[in-house]
Amino acid sequence: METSLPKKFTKSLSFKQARAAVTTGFVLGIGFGALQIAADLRSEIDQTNKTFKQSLRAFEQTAFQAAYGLDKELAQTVVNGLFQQPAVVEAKIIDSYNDTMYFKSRPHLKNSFSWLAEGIFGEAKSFSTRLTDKQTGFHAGDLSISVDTNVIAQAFFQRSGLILSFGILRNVILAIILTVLFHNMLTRPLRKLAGLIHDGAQELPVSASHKNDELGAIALEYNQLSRDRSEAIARLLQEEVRFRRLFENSEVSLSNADYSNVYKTLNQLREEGVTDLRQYLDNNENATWDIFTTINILSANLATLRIFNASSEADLLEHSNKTFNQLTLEMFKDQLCAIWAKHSTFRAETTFKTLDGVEIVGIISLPLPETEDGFRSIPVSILDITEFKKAETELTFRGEIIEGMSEGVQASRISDGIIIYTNAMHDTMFGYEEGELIGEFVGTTSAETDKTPEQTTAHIHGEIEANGSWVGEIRSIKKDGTVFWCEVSATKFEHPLHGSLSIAVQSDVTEKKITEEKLRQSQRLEAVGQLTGGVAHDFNNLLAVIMGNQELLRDEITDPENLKFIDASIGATRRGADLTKSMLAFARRSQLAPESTDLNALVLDTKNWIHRALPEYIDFVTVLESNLWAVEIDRSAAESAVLNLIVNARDAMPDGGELSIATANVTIDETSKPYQANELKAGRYVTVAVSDSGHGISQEIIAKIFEPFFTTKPIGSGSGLGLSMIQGFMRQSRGTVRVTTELGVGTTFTLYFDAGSGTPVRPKKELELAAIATTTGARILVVEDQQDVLDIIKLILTRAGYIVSSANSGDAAKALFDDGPEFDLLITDLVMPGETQGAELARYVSQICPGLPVVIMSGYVGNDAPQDNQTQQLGPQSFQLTKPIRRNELLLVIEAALQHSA
Amino acid sequence: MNVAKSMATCLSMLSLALFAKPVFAEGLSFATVDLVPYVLHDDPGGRLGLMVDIDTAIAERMGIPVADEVLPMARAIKNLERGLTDCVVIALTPWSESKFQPVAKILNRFDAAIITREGVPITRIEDIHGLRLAITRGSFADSPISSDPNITQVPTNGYEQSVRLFKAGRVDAVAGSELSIFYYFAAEQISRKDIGGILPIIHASLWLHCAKGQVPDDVILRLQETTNELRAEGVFTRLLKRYIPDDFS
Repeated sequence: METSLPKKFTKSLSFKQARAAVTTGFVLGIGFGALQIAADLRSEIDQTNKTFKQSLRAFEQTAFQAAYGLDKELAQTVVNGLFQQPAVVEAKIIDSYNDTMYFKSRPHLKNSFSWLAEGIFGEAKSFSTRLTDKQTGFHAGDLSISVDTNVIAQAFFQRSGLILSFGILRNVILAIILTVLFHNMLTRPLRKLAGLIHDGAQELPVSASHKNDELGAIALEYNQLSRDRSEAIARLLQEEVRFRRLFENSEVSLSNADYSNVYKTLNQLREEGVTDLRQYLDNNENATWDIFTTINILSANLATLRIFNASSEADLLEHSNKTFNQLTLEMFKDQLCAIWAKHSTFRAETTFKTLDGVEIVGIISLPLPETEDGFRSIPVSILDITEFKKAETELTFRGEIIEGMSEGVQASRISDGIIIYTNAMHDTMFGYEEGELIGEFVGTTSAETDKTPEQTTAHIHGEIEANGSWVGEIRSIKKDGTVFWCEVSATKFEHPLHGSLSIAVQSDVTEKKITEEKLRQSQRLEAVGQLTGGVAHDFNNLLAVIMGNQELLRDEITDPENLKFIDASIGATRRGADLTKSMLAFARRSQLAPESTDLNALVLDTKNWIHRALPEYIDFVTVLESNLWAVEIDRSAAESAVLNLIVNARDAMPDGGELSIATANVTIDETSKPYQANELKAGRYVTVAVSDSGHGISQEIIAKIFEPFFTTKPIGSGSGLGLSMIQGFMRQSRGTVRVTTELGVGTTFTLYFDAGSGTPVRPKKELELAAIATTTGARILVVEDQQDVLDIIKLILTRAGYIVSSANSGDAAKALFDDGPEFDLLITDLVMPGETQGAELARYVSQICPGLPVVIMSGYVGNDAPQDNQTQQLGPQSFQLTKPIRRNELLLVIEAALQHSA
Repeated sequence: MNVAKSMATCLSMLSLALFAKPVFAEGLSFATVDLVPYVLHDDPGGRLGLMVDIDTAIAERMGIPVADEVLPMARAIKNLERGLTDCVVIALTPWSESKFQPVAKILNRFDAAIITREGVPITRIEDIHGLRLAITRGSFADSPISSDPNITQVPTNGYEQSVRLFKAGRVDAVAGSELSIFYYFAAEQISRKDIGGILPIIHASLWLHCAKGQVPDDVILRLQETTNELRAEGVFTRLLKRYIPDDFS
């Protein structure tokens, strides 16, 4: 823009400054002068009164002396003294006789301002004082004066005029001086600088006199700005090139569009009375499109061509209508509404179409200027988010899967253990609201064990960092404090924002753990059972030798004293046999002899002997259900079980109480606890409940009561096999035993006996020892790997008149049979070293010697004994014996077998 | 303040009169000129002043109550003129005779004189030509000595200042009432030998005057008789000697 310096002085800065300064000085001079005069006037009036009162007071003493002494000369002196003041026009002293001692006057001053003086100060002022002795109060006379206010006013007006004149004059002179100085110091150098700037000087000279003042600073600043501007222009050119490259090479669609016609159209609609643009556009469907066609795209970058699959800018401009679909049109409506509402920007996500008809998703954004000029060139950007939307959809899909998983999923930062994600199942599993755990420490869900949650977290995260994954179980805690077990499978994931993450899939395995614990317990008991069975087997062999030898020895002894010893020894051996029987019962390897049993009768029989087992301070009660179903059980074992429970109940009531036995018919179905605990199958059962009112059993102990050799009784008072034997027996009998207890109230053990169909079975037939008559000369082959057992059996049988051969193994026995000797009976141990076990030997013999009776002995006898299946498949001529075998029992079985074959 | 002291003196005299035998029931009011030694204030010797003593002596002798008011000369005279005061003791002059009623003489000796310093004899006014004369301001207004250009006049504020200048040799002569000057000579311990000479320039006698028509005749008569008796008895002369040195008596 062309500029020029003012030619006229009146247009110059210094003249303007001078005019302003003079005017201001004049006004201020008048204003402040007037203010000062007004203030002086008030002061003058007050001062006038004070002055004349003070004058009177100054002359009062002398006047008193004059009046007192009636000294007229002195009175004259006083009056003349007062007349020294020009304003005093009358003065007189009157003595106490009311005679005027001296009076003096002069004419009032008259001038053109008298009216003003009289208006301000009043017409005249009079002052008088009584001439009195201060001590005695003697009144000697009066002194009075009269003052001409015109004289006072004249002096005041003169002074005020001078103040005003000098004030104005001073300000005007000051303004002129300042103007001259201003012109010389500022205007002239400024004009010079302006001229240079106007002439396009790049550098302005800085004189030494202005080096450190504002003019110098302006010149220096201009020089700096000039340099900066040159540099900025250079940079701008570079930036323009750079931005042009950026524009061309940007991955974002950038275009420059002329929206001025849109702006005009909208203004026109507004002028036509349209108030609701959206309604207008909705009602006039073509209007939106028509407005769109007024947009003139000025330029578009390569990304724009690429996004819309246009071959050139011209191609795109020519077919830009193809980029629109219905959604795009709706977006453009929104854009028009934003312009209509004078928003500053517009941004929307919408779909476009490429020129070849492929739908893409993009975010369009553009600034919305305020003026029509601004609308002539609007930068429009479109970000192609098609791939992003696809990825987002995929992520949403996967997220839905994760959210829908039945396992809990949790992501936490390994760096600080902060949870950043949990799925719905995770939150439900831990009892938290959805998302409540996000931001919390991952150890929040870990229960305290021998490690703190922090230590647990550090350990797991350390494993994940080191190995990339970790699998294990964590003792976890819910929000309500419930502790449970979680199976965790965690893997490492590198997150771009959070760094290393632990992605953990978690399952509540508490039930599984319980089941496993039960299984483990069962397996442990099974192992113990097997061990116990094995021990019992070996023990039975030992007892068999001892028993056999003792019985043989007893036959030789006639001395009553020695007989007592040997009987006691035999009794101890039998108790040992009972003990092994109990162990076998626990191991469910007892030799049971099921028979149809009335459990009411069993309980009633108990009443016949129970008084010997119970002290008097314990009451015994029975509650028996009539029509109790019959059960098929080993009555002896059942009696033993009931007796064990009675003894336990007694021991639980050292201070007395009530012991009751109740029987009942029960039907177990899927809702019953024993069924749900997988202890019983559905069906009919008869229960025998033995209850005491004792001290109850604590939870810590109750888990162990069925373990073998576990006892709470003092050493020597119990074997610890009672309850384990009962459990083994009941399970062997397809039943179970359950216990309920409450500390301080009592305990109830309930035996569940399988009632089956209730069909009576054949009662067990006892062999009568008295009927034994040995078949002398019968040839018997005894096969036993234990030499001691073999020897004693051979001795017993030899003494009984049999012809006994022996073999140490099944293989040896088999070889004997192959050699051809004939035997009337085979007695064989069930388990032996070598390939040929007892059962196989029996089958072999039955093949080569059909009808040959076989007696099988075992310390394992029972359904679960080794090779049980083989023994079950043996023919009717086979008999079984459980070690230790009493002599009579052995002989009875042999004779029975021989007779059976005969 | 002199006025206050005068009032106190007046009251004391009034009290004294109350105890005397009453002759004039209403009593008399005297005005005493407030000049030393006619009225003294705070005198170390307890003296009240010559006029006060004279008034008291007359009142005592008459046995009447007297109110004595100490006033400046002019006010005392004007009080007497206006009838505000009954009696005043002042010099007898033709003016006093015309304005007031002279009752009786008190003292013959009430002269005004010029007293010179030692070594300056004086018999006539010209003897002090070329010398310095202390004159109390306002006095001798119509006297030739006030207008004599050959006399260097030294105005003073009173006799006391005049006498002190005289004693200090600052003036060669002092003019004024003899009684007043002598009184100050006594105060300044100036004796007869310390002066050169005394030139009376105005002769006057001291009289009791009363306001005309103010005091009843019988009281006037009684005042006259009493005053004469006291003068004849030398009472006033004795009173005078209380205030001036013996060698000037």
